Amino acid sequence: MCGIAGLILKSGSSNIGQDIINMLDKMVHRGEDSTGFAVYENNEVCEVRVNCSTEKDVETLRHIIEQFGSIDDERVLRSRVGSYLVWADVTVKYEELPVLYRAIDKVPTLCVHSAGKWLRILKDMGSAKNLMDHYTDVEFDGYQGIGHVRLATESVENINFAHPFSTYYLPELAIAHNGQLTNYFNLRRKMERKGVTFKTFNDSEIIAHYIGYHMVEDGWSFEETLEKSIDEFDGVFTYTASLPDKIGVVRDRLGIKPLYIHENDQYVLFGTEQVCFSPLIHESYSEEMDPGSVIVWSR
Amino acid sequence: MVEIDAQDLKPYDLNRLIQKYLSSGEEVILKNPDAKHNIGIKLRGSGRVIIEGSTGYYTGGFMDGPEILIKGNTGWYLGDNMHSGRIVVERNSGSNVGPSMIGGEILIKGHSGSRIGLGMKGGLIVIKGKTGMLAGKMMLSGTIVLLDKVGDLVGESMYGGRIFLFEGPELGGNVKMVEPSVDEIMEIKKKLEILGIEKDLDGLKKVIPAGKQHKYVLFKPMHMR
Repeated sequence: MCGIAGLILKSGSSNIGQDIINMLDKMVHRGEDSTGFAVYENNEVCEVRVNCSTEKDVETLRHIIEQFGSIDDERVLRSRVGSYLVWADVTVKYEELPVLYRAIDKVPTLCVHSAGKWLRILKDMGSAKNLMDHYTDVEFDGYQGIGHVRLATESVENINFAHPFSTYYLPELAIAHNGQLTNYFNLRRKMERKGVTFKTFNDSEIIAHYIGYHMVEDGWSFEETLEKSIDEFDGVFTYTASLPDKIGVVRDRLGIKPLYIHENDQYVLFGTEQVCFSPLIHESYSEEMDPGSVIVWSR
Repeated sequence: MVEIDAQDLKPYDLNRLIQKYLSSGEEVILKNPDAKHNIGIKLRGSGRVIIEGSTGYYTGGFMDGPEILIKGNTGWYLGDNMHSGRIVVERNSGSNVGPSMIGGEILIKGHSGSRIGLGMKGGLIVIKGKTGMLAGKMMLSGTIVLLDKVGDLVGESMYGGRIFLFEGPELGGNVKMVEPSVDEIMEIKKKLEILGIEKDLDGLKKVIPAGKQHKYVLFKPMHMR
């Protein structure tokens, strides 16, 4: 199962994180092993969000960041599984962000959830309601975002295996995926030979690296990369990928995993089931996305 | 006529309430369905349910007798294993309409997704708008009528039944396209009239099994040879 959802405001910004959580809550039956969302906002400050297994790892993280720049502000939250989520506003050279991301991820007990000016990711174990109850004082203003509820099928239940995933190749990219990539291990070996490093054994992580790698190393456009992924990925999949100025949705040729889209003058909504639109719009007339197709919205 | 507000009702309670009113001869108007799943599951008897909005997955599953009119969209698996009755959707439906349905009629006035009539055993499905790929996959019996553009692999591995459509899509494996008989055209025309659909049926074709299904050899135990 699993479910994905997305919201794009056509103007302005709002507490979009809450909207996405409400959408995900309507799809709780599709998975409550973990829930997460990514929100994009026009921030001046670069923020790094890292899951640290122990308190000692928080110190290790600070030490790594200070090798690249400085920590201007920091918030340490406890996740629902007891790990430490560090949200640090950092001053680093923006072009060095991928290197910092990779340096942090090299430590086995640290895992970057997001790193960027625009992108903020929150993901944890449990349902959308669990997240709402746990992170009561967190607001997520933004102009667009994506979210995910997970029913773990291909890999372990773990906070770092939750969606959305990001990638050090393109830190402002986030993806959320519903499905199974049956050629994951072959594709992973192929990418590892090119030097790509993985943090988890979740097949969905490869989507973030695939897009990031080809956009950065091969100069492919976002649209082109999503189109090519339909040929490269095998299995049943519907996924969404987001950059600060674009959101795309991709559906495999067999169309086994659903995706509904509703667009009006104010926003675009998409999700695995139309029921997830109901917190935002009382009655929506959505369209099911065609199998084997890619749709990209640009700002 | 009775109105039910579905807003705060769980599907089980909602369906019990609908059944209660249908059984007492009332026509039911359902407000605020909010694309909820499992609406109208296992309704039986007769009567009519008018849903003023969209429904989610499995609407009208196992239904035996009544009529459901959905004024909005509907999700996947509409009329799953339906026995009899009628479901009319005024807008679009998701994929897998009428999987394994045994009888009754389903009409989609908008577009529909892929794999309609998957494993269908009887009854009628009419799609007025566009239809996705793999229509009638592995169907055993029954009739599918597709009146607009249709996706490829029509009738993939169908064992029985009939799919009426206009030429265009690629056919699935083990099926063939033939001319329908005059009687069949009249039958479809009458059915569409009853459903309130006007359509010129010139050029309508019929897809049926090619009769090349694998013949299984049943091995007899040694002592029975």
